[in-house]
Amino acid sequence: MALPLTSAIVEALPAPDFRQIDQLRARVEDGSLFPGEGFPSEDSELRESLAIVCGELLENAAKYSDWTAGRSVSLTLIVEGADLVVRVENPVRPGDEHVRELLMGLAWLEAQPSAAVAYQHRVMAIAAARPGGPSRLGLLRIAYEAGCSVVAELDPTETLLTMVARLPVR
Amino acid sequence: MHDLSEGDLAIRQRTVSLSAAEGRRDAVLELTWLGRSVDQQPREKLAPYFQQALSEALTDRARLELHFERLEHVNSSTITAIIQFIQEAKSRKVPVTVVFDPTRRWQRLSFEALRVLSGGGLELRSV
Repeated sequence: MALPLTSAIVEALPAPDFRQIDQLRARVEDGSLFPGEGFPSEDSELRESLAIVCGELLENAAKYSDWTAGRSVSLTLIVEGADLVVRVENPVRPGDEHVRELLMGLAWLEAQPSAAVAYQHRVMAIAAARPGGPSRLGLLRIAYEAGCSVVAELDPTETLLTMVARLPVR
Repeated sequence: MHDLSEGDLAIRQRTVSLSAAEGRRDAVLELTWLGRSVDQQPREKLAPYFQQALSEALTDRARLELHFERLEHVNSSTITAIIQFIQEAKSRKVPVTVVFDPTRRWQRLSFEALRVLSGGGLELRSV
């Protein structure tokens, strides 16, 4: 189903507040975030997938942003052709190790035969690891559960990370 | 063993005694998950609760049943904690059954993926 391009919905996260993230995710899931025209608010499964994408991207941003910079994390939702595009921008520290790991994780995901296989690999790795380590499951969940492609872009100053997930509208 | 209530998440526990004819285990320790688990560090609260559940299951020769079918949402950090709990139960020879609702997409995908951990006492069951 091709959807018309609509204006973007933009939300800001001024602090690493997981409760606020969950409230935002709930508004995506129940459709109340959408102003109406253009967004597929009638498709509950699509809203559920979109909620997973928004939630996991925002949680990643909340965990790994440079909050000392006094800047916000932003979430933008756009309908673009037949896709829903979720863009999350967050300030990061130059040379941040988490950013490097995230980019490597996306490259690894790209090299896997499928998102399902990648997810299963990660489940096995978590089971084999000592408890308390990083999850690294969020981006895989976006690819596997929501069926999204995900790309990341670090600006030339390495202070702004942009994650873009593209969710095909079935 | 008690219930857990943490933020929007609740875990209700119930022990069901079994007759000898119902199997080699004496009881089932049911942990029913309700609500939403969205903490940044869910393991801090869940790990001590899990340890208590495992100790009780070992003492009572119980198997564990984790009921997720009424759970609304979990973040990936919580899924990680659940995976580690299942793995620890397996390593301590406590059988675990994971019960989920396959009509909910996220539950079907999240819990079906745990089949890679099957064997060693882990069973997946859809309702």
